[in-house]
Amino acid sequence: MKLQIRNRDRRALLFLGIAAILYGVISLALLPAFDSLGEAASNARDKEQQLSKYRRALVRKGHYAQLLQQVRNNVAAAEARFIRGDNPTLAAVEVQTIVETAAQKNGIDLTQRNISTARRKDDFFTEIIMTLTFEATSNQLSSFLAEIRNAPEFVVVRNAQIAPAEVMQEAPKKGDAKKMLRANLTIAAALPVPVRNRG
Amino acid sequence: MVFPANSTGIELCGSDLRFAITRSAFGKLQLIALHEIAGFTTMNDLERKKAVQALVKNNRIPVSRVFLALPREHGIVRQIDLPAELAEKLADIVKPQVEMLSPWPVDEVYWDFGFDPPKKNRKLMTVTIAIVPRAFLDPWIAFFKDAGLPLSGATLSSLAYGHGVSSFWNQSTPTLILDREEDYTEGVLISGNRIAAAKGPAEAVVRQLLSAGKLSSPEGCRCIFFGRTVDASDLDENPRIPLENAKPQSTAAFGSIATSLVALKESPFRANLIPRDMRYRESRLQLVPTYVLVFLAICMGLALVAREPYQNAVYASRLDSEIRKISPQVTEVAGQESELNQLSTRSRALTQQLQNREYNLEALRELARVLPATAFLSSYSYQDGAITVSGFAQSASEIQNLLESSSLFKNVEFTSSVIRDAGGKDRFTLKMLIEASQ
Repeated sequence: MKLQIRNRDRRALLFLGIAAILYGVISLALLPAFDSLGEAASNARDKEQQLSKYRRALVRKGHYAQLLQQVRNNVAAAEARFIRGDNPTLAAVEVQTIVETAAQKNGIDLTQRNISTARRKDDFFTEIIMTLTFEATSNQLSSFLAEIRNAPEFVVVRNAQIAPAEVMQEAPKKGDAKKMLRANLTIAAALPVPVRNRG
Repeated sequence: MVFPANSTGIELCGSDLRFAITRSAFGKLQLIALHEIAGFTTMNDLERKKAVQALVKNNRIPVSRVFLALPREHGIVRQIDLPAELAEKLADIVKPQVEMLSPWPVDEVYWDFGFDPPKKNRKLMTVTIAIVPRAFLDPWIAFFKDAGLPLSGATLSSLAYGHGVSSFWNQSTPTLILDREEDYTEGVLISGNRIAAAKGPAEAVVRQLLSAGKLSSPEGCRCIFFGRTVDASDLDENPRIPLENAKPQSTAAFGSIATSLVALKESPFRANLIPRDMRYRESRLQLVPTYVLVFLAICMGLALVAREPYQNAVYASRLDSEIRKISPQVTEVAGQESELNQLSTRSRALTQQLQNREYNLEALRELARVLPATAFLSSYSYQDGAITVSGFAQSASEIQNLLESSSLFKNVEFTSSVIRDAGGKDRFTLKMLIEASQ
């Protein structure tokens, strides 16, 4: 069978071709482009908000610099009150030195002492615990406690158990009672965790 | 023809001038209007001109393509058969034929020819030649130009009828056309590529045509009758013209309708007797401003639709570039903010730790101050802000009362039962909290 293409058929084919091209151009190029342009309004709004946020942040720039310096100073001052935590062994030695110096100053013989290794307490501190047992008069004990409190580096009595060496139920008939106290103290030293440099 | 085009056909028929306006758009033919100037030939030149001008003005007749069909007797139509392979050189071959066929000197005639493009299995092709004396056509060309209807083409009525039949039906069925005017009857028989024409009394014309077409009777022919003497009821019997908007009565103007199609359709009978250089043609360049304006209007419309989204896109892009510009500084501020937060948290933790003091000294001093001389402590324990003391006293409840009254202690309570010993003293154990530690 011979295929005969008349003018009418040729015109129809031409229209079909043009329609196909138009469909392709519209559906593949024009409509997607128009859709993407349609999203431009919400996109612009988002960017406006972002820019406004950024500009507000820029205004705080100088203020932040001042605040940072101030807080750094505060932190440095506060950290100076603590035993340095970058070397736990040295820190343990320093705790022992503080305690022993205080005991020595007050004429207390430490009968037993024990010091733990540094343990992580929270995000900011590690802790060294020292337990000690000794006998002392009430004056010696109070002076010792005062020494500990006023030590240049921050140490604190976490637990204390104090009992008289000899339990009395009434005052002696003659003279002063010789009050010896047996003390069992737990002393803790908080060590700031060194700040890691970023990067 | 793909794009819309109007064409005006004019037939000089009897004493009347008939107009038909047709339109071709996207391959479809449409009849727009029919007009007539009755008694045209009886008018003088000035009246004719005024009548035509008035008709054109009142009816807004398109003047871009105007074709005129002259009465058949003002020219001659001849058909010759030529070998199909000569199709490409037809103009050169027909010219000597015209010299032979024309009763007038060749210099004094306009001629043209139409032919059906040869098909592959056909060895011969029929060429239809029309010849008209210049002396007859030139006055009409001048007249219509003067009247504001410059002619784009001219043909003879019999060829126009043949062209119309061929354009409308394009079938091998013979078609008999009779134009019955008051003074005469003009008949044309079209059978395939063949055309025969006659003029005279109706019966003689029909007989002559049947004889020329080698037909015994009009039976089996498509017959179209029109003209001044044909009633409207007779027009209804004519085959309907396959033209949009055409009514059965439209066959009354078959000649002018067929003439208007000369500009729009091809057929073996299509001949334009006006030489190319004398044909009125509207330059396509004059449409350029229209197309440009249409294009600009479309662009303007698209621009209006796309303006807002486009401006938003441009605005978003500028915002984006501004954001990118200040982004490093903002990153620095964000870093500062983050560092400040970390340092603040650390500072709070350090301060809190420093404030977390113990109160042993104060507690021991307060116990020594408030306890009566008759009370003796056997143990003192301090753990996480809670103090527990055990001892002997004359009255345990008195001790509790004294401690509770102290500004340093609170929540003083017994942790075990109070036992009175043999010496008459209460043995107690009290637990309390430091007021300031809370």
